[in-house]
Amino acid sequence: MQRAHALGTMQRSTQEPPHEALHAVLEHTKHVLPAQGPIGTFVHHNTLHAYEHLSFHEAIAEACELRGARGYLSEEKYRAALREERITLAGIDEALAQRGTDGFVGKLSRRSIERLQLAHGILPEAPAGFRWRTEEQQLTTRFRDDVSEAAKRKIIDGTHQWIGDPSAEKEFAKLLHPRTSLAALRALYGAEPSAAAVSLLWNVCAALHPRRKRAHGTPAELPHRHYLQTVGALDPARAVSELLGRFLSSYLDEGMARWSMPDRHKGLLVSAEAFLRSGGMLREEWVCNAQERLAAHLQAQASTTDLLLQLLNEFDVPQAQWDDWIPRFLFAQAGWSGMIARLETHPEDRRAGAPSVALDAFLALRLLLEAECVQSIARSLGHRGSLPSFLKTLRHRSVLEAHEDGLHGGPFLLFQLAQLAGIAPRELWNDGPGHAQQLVDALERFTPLQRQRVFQEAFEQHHLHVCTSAIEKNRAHNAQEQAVAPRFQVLFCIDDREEAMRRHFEELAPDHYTFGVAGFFGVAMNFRSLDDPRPSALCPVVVTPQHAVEEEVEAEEDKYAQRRARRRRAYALLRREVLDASQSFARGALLTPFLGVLAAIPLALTVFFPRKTAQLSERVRTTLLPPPKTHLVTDRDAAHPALGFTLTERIERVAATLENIGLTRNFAPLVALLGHGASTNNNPHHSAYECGACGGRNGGPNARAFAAIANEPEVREGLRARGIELPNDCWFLGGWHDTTTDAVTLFDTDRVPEQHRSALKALTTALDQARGLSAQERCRRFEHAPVDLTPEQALVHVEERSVDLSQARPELGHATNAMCIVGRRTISKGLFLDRRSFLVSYDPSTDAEGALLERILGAVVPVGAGINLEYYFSTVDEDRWGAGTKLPHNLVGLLGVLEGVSGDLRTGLPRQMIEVHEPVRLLCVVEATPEALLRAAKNRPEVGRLVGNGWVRLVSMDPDTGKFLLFRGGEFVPFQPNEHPLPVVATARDWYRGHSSFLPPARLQSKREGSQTARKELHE
Amino acid sequence: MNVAEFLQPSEGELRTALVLVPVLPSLAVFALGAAFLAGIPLKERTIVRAVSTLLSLSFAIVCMLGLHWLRSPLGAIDVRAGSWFSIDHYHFEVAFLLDRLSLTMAFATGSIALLIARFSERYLHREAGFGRYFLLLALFVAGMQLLVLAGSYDLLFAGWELVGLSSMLLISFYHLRPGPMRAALRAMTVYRLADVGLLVAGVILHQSTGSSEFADAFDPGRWPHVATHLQPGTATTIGLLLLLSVLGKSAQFPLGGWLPRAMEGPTPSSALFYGALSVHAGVYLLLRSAPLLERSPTASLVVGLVGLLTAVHATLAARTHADAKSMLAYATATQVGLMLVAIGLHWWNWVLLHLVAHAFLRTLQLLRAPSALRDAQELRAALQQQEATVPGFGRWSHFAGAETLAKLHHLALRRFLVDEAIERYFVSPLMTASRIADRAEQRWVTLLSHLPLAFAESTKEQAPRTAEKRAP
Repeated sequence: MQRAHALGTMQRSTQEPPHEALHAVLEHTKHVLPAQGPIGTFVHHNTLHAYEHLSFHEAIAEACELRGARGYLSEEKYRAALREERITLAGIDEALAQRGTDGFVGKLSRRSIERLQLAHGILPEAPAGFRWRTEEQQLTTRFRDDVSEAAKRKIIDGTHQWIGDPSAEKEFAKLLHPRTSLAALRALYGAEPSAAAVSLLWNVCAALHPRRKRAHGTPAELPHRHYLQTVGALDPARAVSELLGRFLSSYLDEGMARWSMPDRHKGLLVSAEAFLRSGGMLREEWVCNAQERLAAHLQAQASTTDLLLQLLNEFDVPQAQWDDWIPRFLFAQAGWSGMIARLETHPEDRRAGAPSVALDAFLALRLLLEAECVQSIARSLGHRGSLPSFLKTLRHRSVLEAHEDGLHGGPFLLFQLAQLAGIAPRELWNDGPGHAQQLVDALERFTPLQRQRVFQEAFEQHHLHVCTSAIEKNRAHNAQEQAVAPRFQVLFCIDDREEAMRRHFEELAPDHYTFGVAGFFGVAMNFRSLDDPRPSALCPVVVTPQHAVEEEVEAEEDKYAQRRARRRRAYALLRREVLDASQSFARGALLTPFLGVLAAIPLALTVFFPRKTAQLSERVRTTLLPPPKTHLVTDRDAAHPALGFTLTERIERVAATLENIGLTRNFAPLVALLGHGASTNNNPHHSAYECGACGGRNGGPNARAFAAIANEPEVREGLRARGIELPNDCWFLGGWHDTTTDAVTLFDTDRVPEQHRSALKALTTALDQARGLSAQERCRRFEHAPVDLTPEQALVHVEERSVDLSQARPELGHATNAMCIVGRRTISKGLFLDRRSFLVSYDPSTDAEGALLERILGAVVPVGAGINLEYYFSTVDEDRWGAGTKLPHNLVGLLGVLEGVSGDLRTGLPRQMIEVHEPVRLLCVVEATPEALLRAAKNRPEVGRLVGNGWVRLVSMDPDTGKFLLFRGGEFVPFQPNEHPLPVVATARDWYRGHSSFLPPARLQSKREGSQTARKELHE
Repeated sequence: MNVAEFLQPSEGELRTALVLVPVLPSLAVFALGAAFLAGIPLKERTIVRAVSTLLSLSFAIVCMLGLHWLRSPLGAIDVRAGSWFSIDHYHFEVAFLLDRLSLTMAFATGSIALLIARFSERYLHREAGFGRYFLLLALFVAGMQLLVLAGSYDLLFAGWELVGLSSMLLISFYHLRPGPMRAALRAMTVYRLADVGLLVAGVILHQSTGSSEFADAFDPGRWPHVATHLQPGTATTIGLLLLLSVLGKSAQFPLGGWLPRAMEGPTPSSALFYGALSVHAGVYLLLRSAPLLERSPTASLVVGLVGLLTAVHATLAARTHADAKSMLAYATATQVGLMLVAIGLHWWNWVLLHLVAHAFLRTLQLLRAPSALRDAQELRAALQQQEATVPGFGRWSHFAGAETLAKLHHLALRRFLVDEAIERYFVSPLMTASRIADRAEQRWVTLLSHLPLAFAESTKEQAPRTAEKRAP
């Protein structure tokens, strides 16, 4: 969190000593570079994390300008959403009202002009495009396709009157000359009135000739490659990036190459010098020059900063522009630069003895190579002289490129507006050029970025109304229902993907209760399973676990465990040897003929029968490597002084989690906790599918540890002392839910006491039913899944996806996330939320001081916003913020993926994860008073920042009255959702069947009364 | 019709069947191409069904031909399907040759192509170029089957070109990024240059034997024990010319630089072309020309040396590169180089076995390339390695000092600067020479057409623009 170092302090005085100034600029640069770490643990985070001190929209404007990226969807996509009614005109009006444009231009209100711009898109054309469209699409004699009939009528009628008016002939002489004549126009009107009307309108617009006013501020100093491009020279960044990419992939390699780079410990610049030195006279001239300069620098043992200052000077970058120029310069290789910054700032992610990394050294290296490369380009262009003089010439030439404002600009904008607004030609002409200019100015004032922003807000506004309206009605319904004694209570992760599973489980019977809690269940630990070589942190990334937990084999199973370890080791050795041999020289030649035949069989099997093959290999695995019985060491005792938790800590962990979710009395006899994970195949981004609350890992062990602790009699006693009425005959079970296959695994079922056996069986059956229904619901979104799958078939389908080598979309991850509901389940129970909502259990009635709320929001808001915003930015610009399509991805150095072999390291989410995502900021609906929320935001600065700056949307729902207050502009304002009907359906399937896209919420008809009697009958 | 009858086709049926093997996939090319040109939107399912059905039919015919061949007493069946065109003394005979070699290759081609088609259906789901991809896949299979079943160098050349074309177009599958376009252009340039060898070899063969058909050039016999009546000198010339085209297609030293750059398309197309089939086309060509090489020790020696050089170069590069696809590309080049060594030693059967097995192995490895991270994690877990073990130089450290190995490492990572050397000593002088020739020609033309000198001046001014191409 300390990374949110204010970028606002960028205005540094030029008097600052250059060394310090450069240091500060490098710190700033580290923050704006992509912050994704090695891909093995993928942690969702806000892509624009470095800008969180700014408001959402300001941050987008600033970050996108610097990076040259998009911060919203394209207007085209928003308009498509408008057509599909994902955005409504009412929402647009609301957003425009927020924008606060008033006044009139002539008879048109500015607001109506802006509405037309949004709904229809009034865009200028490039000169060539304009010419083409005029000739090929009769642009100037045909109405736009989206002009309303009324507007057409007005223009045509106006034309009719005007050209029929004999007194107007003089006007026409002025207006039409020399383009056409009145006679021709009249003739055309006789044949084709609409063509004549449009043509006349165009003539009027052309004659009025309003101009587009451009903001001619001083453009930022761009790196040289932008200027080189304008003169058609080669891009020096490409040659340098290719060379450096190859070097870095080997230098930073975490164990992929069979030979690691020698002498890496000597540092980046020394290794780079050795790399650049190789090849002797075969090297390109600029590589030789760069290497010689680098060698001289290393020889002189000068500081990197001095080298940097010298190079920046060569590129003629004034100190005042460093903080803008340097990030822009590094964005040419954003992925690798970001990885270096990340590894430098997070040394804890790196193994011992990893080669040192420093952004300043990398920047110096890159500058040096590019300086020499640009020099060589300059020479090839015939330039003799120094680098600065060459760059000056370049800049001079590219500034000269003036924009001529022809008919394609102002007149064309006016022409479109007049058509859409239905302004008759004569009216426009009579109002004169001043008025025309005002109209174009009004259009130009609403810039593309502002239009996108309004669209985005309208998008979110519609979502807000639909969701809050549904919650409001649902709460009213649920208030009438009576609670029944619980039979099962299941704790799920807050993850949006668990929404369907929870709903289906609850719908099975009224005494099924579920809760949502961050999936590490309050047990932050460094966990090492039997098969792990080293522990990994199972908790949110902002937490550093203070405790270690290990999986330990039961004493009597030790023999089997050892045998298993031996076999695993032997198999791994064989696998490694074969892999190595297949890529080697002589062994490869000798082994290939045999391996090839062996490879052909699994290849064919796995491509044609992925699921059966996976089942077969799983069966072989469990036969050869039967898992021994184990338990988790959660108690700190004499035998394990370094492991586990003390009794107080154990009580504290369990109590905190139960208090958070408001489960302090009325315990069911069986309480299950389900962590979650994913099982995907052939997928470097695997970790991104796992539990975000466990740092991109499987949360099963946390659930298992929690259950083991909660089942201890001493812990129960301690809990009772804290006021948690946990009876002795209640049993806790840990397990995990596989979000890809919808499989549910329960741990330690053999330890369940006899009295709970039948309940366990019933729970397993219920969970099986629920997971089948959940899989069935998920399948509606998969194009390759047939429409009418039964739950069993759906399970088969999702299981196949998870093991299929060719499946780029094993599951859709968080692609549907849009909302977060914090509160009692009574407000959301029975509501079909389409897997779009994080569901966090919180009972305001037990939290008078708001301490729990603070704790919950402190964990949930950053995690939820991180996931939501990563999806947001990866969706709006998949080339800059996202990772693009997965298909050509190429794993490098166990660090990340390259695009093909020539591309940069790609960060963010791949297209296959975000393509169905609807980018809206997370809507948090919290059942708490505004005072409690404001207090929590104040005490948790990271929450305050996200909420206050609009990175998440916050709605307070009064715990007693259910009234909404919307947080807007720094305060809570009353908010009444628009009327949206809440459909009532018998089952979720009735609602989603036949639909593959997003669905609004619906209420599932309560079967509670009916099914309760049915169940009673069953029991008797 | 019983099985025996079915497997004893008449001459006409055999001819039809053979023609169908490459023609069926090309039907898919024409059908999809026509639909795209007409702007008919096709569903993914329709595209996949069309292509898979035609590929399966083609593969089924290959299997039946194989069964037929097994039962026939002859080692090789020569089938003439007709004449494409003829001018004066030249007839382009559409001739096919069925023998152990061509059938093995056709079988591998058909089966791997089917696997890849099945794989790609899900892998390329929703990708913008879905239809284009399957069209190119079918085009490749048509070309490859034509290449391996061809009975003459002329027909083989036709297949060879189709393979090259589809290869180039699939490298540039992501045509909106500059990287793939450059890689595709490089591959195409190398192909163009190298294919001259095959073309000229065909012509020379024609000159010396009156026909470029294998049946005429080589004596009848069971492959690879086929003799030829060519003069050793001619055999050497032809052999070396063929080797030139192999250098390009099978990425051999020094023209192999395009291969690691070609891994830009979707993973399954990389697997099909640069793991499985296209890259082995050159090896097939040399196997097919076994009689020639048997006749010419010189050509055999050169082939072996080139292979050895490639294998050493590639294995060193494979060891130092740290990205999955480059590692596999160089590992492939290593084995293909070793196949050439074995060809130089005339181990024909071994090479054929090596080739087919290698094709399957690399297909699997390339399709699984995205699993490299998981594999590394699993191995680490099973071997209980606390930290990533940093591999050293393995066995090589016994043979050389640390400093030498360090130098070797950097050189290998820079791919021994082969491309840079070609650029400097071949491409650059060639471009300079062309430019000089171009300028000279312009002058001559101006002079000869008596145009005012002002025109010549204006063309001169454009010279700096062409000079930009020389920049790195």
